[in-house]
Amino acid sequence: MRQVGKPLARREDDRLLRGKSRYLADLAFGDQLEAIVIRSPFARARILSIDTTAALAADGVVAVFTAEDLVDVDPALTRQFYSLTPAFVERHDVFLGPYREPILAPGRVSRVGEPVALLVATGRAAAEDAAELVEVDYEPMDPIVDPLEAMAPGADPVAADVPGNVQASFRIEVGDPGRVAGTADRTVSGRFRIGRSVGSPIENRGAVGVPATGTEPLTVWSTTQIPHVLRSYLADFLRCGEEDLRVVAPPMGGSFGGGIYAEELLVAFAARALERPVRWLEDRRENLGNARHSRDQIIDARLAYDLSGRFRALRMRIVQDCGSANLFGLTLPFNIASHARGQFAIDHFDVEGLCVLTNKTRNTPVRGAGRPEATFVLDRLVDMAADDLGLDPAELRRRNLIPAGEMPRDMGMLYRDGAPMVYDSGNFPDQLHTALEASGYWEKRRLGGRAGEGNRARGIGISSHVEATGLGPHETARLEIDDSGRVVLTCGSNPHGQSHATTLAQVAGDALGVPYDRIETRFGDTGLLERGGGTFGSRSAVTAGSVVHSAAIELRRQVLELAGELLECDPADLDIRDGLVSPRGVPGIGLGFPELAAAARDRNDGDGSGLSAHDEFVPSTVTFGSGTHVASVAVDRETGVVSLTGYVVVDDCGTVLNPMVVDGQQHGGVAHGIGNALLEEAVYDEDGQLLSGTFIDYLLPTATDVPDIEVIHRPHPTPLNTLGVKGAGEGSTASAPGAIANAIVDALRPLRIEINEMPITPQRLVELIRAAEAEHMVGSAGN
Amino acid sequence: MIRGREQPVRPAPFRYLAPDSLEEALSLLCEYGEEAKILAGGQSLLPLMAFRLVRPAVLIDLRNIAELGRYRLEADRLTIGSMVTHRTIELDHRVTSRCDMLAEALDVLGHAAIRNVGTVGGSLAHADPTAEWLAVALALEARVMVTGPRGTRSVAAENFATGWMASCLAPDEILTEVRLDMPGPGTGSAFEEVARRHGDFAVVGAAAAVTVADEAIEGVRIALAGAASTPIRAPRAEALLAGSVPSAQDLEAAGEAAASETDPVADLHGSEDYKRQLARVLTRRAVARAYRRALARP
Amino acid sequence: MTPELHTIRLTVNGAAVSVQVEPRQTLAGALRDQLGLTGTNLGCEHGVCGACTVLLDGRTARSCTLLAVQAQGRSVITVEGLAADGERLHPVQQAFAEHHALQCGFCTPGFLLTTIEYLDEAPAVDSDAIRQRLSGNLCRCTGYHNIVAAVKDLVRRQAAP
Repeated sequence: MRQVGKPLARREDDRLLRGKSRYLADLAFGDQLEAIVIRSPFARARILSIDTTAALAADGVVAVFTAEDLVDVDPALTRQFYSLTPAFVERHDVFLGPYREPILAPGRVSRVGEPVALLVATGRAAAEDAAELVEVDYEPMDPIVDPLEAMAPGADPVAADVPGNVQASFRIEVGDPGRVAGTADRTVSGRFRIGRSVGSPIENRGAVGVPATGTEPLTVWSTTQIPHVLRSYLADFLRCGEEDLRVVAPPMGGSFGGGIYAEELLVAFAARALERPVRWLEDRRENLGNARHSRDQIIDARLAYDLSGRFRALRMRIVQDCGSANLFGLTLPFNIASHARGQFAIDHFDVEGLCVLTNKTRNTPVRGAGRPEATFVLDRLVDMAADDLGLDPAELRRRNLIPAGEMPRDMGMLYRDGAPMVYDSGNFPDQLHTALEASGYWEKRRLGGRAGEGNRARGIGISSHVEATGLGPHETARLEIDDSGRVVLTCGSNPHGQSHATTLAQVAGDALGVPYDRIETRFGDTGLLERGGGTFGSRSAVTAGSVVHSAAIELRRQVLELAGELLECDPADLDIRDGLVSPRGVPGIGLGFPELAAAARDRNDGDGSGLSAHDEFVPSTVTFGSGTHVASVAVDRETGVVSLTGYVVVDDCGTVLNPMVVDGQQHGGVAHGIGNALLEEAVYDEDGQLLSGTFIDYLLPTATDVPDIEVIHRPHPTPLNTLGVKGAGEGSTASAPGAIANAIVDALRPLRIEINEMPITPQRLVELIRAAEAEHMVGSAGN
Repeated sequence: MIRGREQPVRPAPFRYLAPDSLEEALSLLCEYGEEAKILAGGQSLLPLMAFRLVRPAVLIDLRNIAELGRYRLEADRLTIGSMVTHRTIELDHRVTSRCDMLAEALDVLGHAAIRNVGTVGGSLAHADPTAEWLAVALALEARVMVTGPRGTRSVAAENFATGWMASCLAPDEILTEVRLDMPGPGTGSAFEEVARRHGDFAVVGAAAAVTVADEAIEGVRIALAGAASTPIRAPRAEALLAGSVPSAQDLEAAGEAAASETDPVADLHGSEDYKRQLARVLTRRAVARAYRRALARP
Repeated sequence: MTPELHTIRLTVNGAAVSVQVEPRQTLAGALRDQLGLTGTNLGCEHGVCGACTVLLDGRTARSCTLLAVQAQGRSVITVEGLAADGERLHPVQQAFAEHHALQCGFCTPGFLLTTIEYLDEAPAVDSDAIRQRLSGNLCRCTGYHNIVAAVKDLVRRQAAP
């Protein structure tokens, strides 16, 4: 039975449902100590002195580390994420300035929450009591919290070595946008503001450093998406070899955005210094203040088109508020740029992207990572153009979608990995058609836009997106048969809810002829696999799926070869079904894996079965998934409260490994997008203080904020990998804000409001409605 | 000079006492004075203590004082001991069927897990201006019973909250019960609220009780949550409606009047203007619904 | 200062237990640190996310916003109490698995206990009511769709004669 494509039950669930999963906070390491981070209360200040004397004398305190104590280590992160090819740098006019992010603040702080000291005590409460005794003398300075102010001439630098505060920039030009935009019949434009949001998994971050023993190297357990990358940063920081380190990612309670953080380096340092395990558990306020902030751009965009409705040119300028340091380089604004044209044929295109430093928390990619921003802006421009032309938004989209016959389509620029950016597969018009039919679009569109009962107006909105998935540089897997005959799958991509233990086992199971639930899976441990990529950027189904597939095929070859020897027949005449190697046409008799493992072990003089395949997948470039969403809303015109009344997703992630799992990814992505569209915002005041520091003020969507979601798969497998898989983790986040914004505008059709900011809070909506009503009245009065 | 950690999550150390009688609780309160804090359900207090925004040296838990955990409905009078949980009231159909306003308010007060533990007295004593209970108490002209070393006094709900998260309770006094009169025949009531999400603190809430005679409004009481630094009544709106068979314009005018009586405090979830707008709309809606209900139960 | 310690007796998952706690210890802390019941997860520690939800005398409570001393003499059910090791899953756990109502699983114990309390009230099949009841528990992975489906299925099965 083929396993790929079936909604097979998850193998992860039993442990999780019984509360037996061991998340980081559930692990205990002997005489472990608890660390807490003492953080800056100021957005910008000089540290005049730190006095730890009283804290060190307090009950249970073992050590307090400050920047001065960071000797014999690299005191700052300086290596930015993702290397760029010289051709890419040249083609897209890339500037990359220096990046430097101190592990502990050395004499100055540049954001609220910046780590200033690490206090280590015998228990958490003791640590918090003692922290009140650490005295830090700050001299506060005026912070810069607005990126446009940061770019203004004469602005103080946030980082001393980045004068002007533009840490990185790029420019893309496709076709002749300047000329074409000038000759097009019409344009719409706007300044779009994308609010800052926070990844906010329900588990906070955490890390444990465990000192080296005679047999084990210094080990860091961390809630990381990228254990192998963390190991390399640890090696840089501790000035040791990667072979002297092990990084383990235990089961995680979500993640939604990655990176390297000072805390996971500090626990290693403290464990090494104190020769005891040191655990740091983040709390929610630390998390909301310091981890996985994302979005936060100001985007000026202009769409030029002809009276026929044909899009001619798109021009954009992206100001990315990076916060106080830019670990991820061009990633976010370049993602916006590379997804900015969505599913449309727009031949003339230019983008300027600027990464600007401010005195706020560091920005990182979070679920969607530029795609929701790009899609929101494009969807709004399209609906504005439809309004201008008097066309239905669906019809205007239909006229401009890239026809299926033009796929694959070279988009005329390079992707971040340096390869030409090509939409490799998909049928966008079919997706739109399917979404319109499933949502009852035309009927709803006819009935919408009027204030109904209780002043609630109904509207419907469309969004379509593309999603570059399966980013390299590589992913690694090993498949082996252990002494007992059990198949063991080890992979460098570690899950945090994505169901790797199910879907990757389905892939391996099909190739090997073994039911997926008999394959043991291991993830997230650099001690098990020399190299590994990680789980981010909707990459695992593509990269891990591909490498598991190829390794499983190689293991199958080894198994058949051995069985052929033992059965004295041609391996080509053998087949594996249900874990049994049998002559073709004679199922049910033959050799089981335990017997094969025993035979192999004998052959190897007892040194393991030797049945093992190790492979690495290096994708040629990303593959483009896509999706079209239709959101239905009801808007209370007086209170600005928006309710979602229906939601349809049509998705193309190529070959669907497990439809149940992919649907779950779609549901979660939509909910995340709803949060970004309507609720979630990390708000800073002019002093750089975070005002949304608790779950009372930072609003994740709840069950009442998310509607039932219908997911329809219209798969078009990619030619770029054997499985035909495209990623599915982030696309749904991309379209939700645009679809919802358009639906709200549709509901308020008579007022012709423009939404160009997210989240769309009830207050902002009421302000837009009132302004439009006032204008409407002035307009009528003039007639 | 800044001391310590900006954001703790463990309460500072404190002594915990759980007296068996009100007398004992009062004498402990006398003994420890301002160092002590009363613990009811803890659903508001404990998060504040975890953030060390409140750090009492002594916590006096009322959980063992049986009399505070009782409530009774006698004729039209509902008397609720301060340690009765929201959920106890919510699940008593005899009560909720008598008072739509209360049923609707309890429906949006936090979530079941909070209502199971949180108490009526705790919510009142916390004096959060957005609290549903305070608005309901105001609209029903409840009386709050307070006991201290000088004896027991009965405080009208409108005199109970004195400022933002401040009440008339003296440091040595304990809130023991609240007395509410259930709306009688000819009276309808309603509670309307806008919160960012279901169960969140109200941005603004409106409670209305309307008594009709021959389709005309004989009496109306309107209370607003989240519209000022304390919950407030809206006397001008009430006066506008009195005696009327309310038309849509009358209701709109009452909403306008109520909005003009507010003094909102801006926060992340609403500017002053937005809160005024909500006060206007929610007053209108609550009165309209209460009026319809009043007509339906002569 | 040596902290004052209180000995509290309570029933946890049917067994009588006694633990010594500082007054500031939360019920969640006592369950996790003293009783080793780490299935109760902490997500916010300020009473919003619902991950730490347990049943207290049969009703949901947030164990992060309850002092251990407040649980004196009471009965607590945690996720570990729903199905004994090696035995079949509780029907609510089973429904969550069947409907793919969990991904990372961190919020799941809270949702399970919230659902159990809800089913205990013999509710009608009503999506809006189910969503309202679940709205005190945050999940970042599932978008709630499959959780609602699982609960709806349970309500339907329970309501069927």
